[in-house]
Amino acid sequence: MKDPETKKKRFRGGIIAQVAVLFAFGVLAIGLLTFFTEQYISTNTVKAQTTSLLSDLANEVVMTVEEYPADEWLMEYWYEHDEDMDIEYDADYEQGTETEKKCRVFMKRHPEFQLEYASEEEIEALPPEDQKLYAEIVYSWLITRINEIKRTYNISFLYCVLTDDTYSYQYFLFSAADKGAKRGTNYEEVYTIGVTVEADEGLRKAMQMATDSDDYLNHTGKYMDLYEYLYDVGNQHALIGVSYDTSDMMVKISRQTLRDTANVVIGLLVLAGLCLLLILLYVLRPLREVQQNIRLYTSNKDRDMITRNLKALRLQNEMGQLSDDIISLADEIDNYLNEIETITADRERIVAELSLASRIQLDMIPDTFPQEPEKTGVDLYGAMIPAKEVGGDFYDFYRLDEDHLALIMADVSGKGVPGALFMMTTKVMTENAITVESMDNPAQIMEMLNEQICKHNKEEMFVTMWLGILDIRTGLVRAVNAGHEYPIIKNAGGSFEIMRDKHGFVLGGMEGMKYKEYEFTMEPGAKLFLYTDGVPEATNGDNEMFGMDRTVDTLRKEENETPKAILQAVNDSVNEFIGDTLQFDDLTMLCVHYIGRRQD
Amino acid sequence: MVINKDIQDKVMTLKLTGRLDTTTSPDLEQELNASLDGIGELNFDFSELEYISSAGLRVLLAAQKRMNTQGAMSISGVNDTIADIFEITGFSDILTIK
Repeated sequence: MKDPETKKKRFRGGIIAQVAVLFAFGVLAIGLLTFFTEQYISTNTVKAQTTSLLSDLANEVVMTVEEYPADEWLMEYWYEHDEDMDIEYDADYEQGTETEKKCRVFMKRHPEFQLEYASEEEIEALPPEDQKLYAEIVYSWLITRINEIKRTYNISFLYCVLTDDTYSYQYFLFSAADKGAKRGTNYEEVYTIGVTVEADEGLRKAMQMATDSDDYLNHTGKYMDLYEYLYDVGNQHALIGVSYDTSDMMVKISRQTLRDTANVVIGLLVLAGLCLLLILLYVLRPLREVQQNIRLYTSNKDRDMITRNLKALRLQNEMGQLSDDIISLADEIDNYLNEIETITADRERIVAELSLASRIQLDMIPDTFPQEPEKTGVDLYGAMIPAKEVGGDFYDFYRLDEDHLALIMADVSGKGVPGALFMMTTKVMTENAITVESMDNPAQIMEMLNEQICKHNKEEMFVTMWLGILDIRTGLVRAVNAGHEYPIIKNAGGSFEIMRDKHGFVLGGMEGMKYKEYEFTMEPGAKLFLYTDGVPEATNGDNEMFGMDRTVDTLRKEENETPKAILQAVNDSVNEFIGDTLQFDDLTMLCVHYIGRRQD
Repeated sequence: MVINKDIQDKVMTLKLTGRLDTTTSPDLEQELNASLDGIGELNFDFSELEYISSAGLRVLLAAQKRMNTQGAMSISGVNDTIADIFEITGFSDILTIK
């Protein structure tokens, strides 16, 4: 058996470990779900806000352009004269600028002209060099304005492009730049007017969608690009482009998401820890107490102790019910134990009584054999080996007077206690029936015995019996056989032979049966072997019987030995034959060796 | 042991297969107690019976006694072993063996 201490620990680890694993999976799943959900929602919210912002921003640029009544004329002029114009990009107004100088020059020439509110007609009325001056001044102002917008909203790119119906290129009309950013025509520089770049598939699609539906948002990589359609300039479409770098925002979202997820996970872990603690306190500890008491009860079977201990624990809820159930179980077990004790005591008493009965029965059978056979003239030996605790066979021999010896071999039909009781009755009756007076008429003895047995035999048992009266002086035997096995006899100088004697019916079977007597003479040296059916009918594992042939053969091998040695040989032979098979029937034998008296 | 029972009108035939000994005789006794009422002729078929012990003889004797009062009983198909047993015990004198 395993050490209960380690068994208990493993069991306790079992529940905690199982629940902990369950919690771990739960926390992991909820953590991941929280992370991805929050990231998804945050990203989408920020995207929507950004889109709205970018849209507002683009509109602001559109409004800025459209503030000039002659905006369309200007756009076209800038496009057509992109190479001729002398443009001051990113003017620093604190330092005083070229554009201011240009303004003063222009205002001197046209004092009534309102630069910001000039209509197309008024501009068309100007001489060409002043038209150019005007276009340059406004372009510079516009750049300044959109630079401010870009700075205010902290966006990556803000520009106006022209493209045709193929959308295959972008012609940059104006672009916003941060202070100090380098202007130029190369990639990574802020484009000056007139820079044309090829548009890739994504850009083409974005510009086309913007032209068709006023605006379009394109999110590729870290940039969100919004294109807002302005109007057509000549046969080209003018689009305001806004690019917003989302990477900072995404980093912020990720950080926030991670922080929130961490909070959720920590919260869940604390909750899980509390749950495990509760399980430990309210389930496992009481369970361990109950278990220890059960183990104690298992070893000492003390019902009062386990009842007292469990009640002292004052367990509530299901543990309390369990505890009550165990107390009831202990009560039941106690009752059963008492019952079993009684039954066991009864059984022991029965076994003891059976064993006593068996001894009493064996005591009935003579076990004292002639010590000096030469003096008495007869040597004999008997043996009874019961198959069960008590059997139904018996043999008997006793002297009737100086010269006569009664020899009896009998077998009762039942076994066990009924057989033994019947055998005792029969033996006593037989002993009473054979007297010096009756010994000359054995057939009459049998008939009398039969009547007596029949009279008290409601259970319809019967007994087979061979009875012989040996005259020791002459060796004459007067015998009667009531349904018993044939005697086996060896005459002086001869071998053992089966004597097929006259047979009557068994005793106790039927009233009024008649029996016939017969006689034979034993010469000095003759031997008589009497037995019950247990000998020839001893059966081995193959369901084979020992049989008469083996019985006679065994006797013949030992025919010159003493009766005791002969019986021993038969017994050995039978045991060898049946091997490990249980001896089923009683083995009862009696061997008589007639020596005869010396004629003094 | 196997008991095959066949009842036709008042004639009952019991065919026994196996061994009729201490352990199996109670079965036969029970069978007889249960079905002998109103039977006028009881036939035993022993052609498949290998062995009979004293406990079996007791049941046969009881059956014979009962049939003596209510009709007739006979036994057929007795093998040599059983015939010897009937001979030795004197049962051959009181039984009708065909």
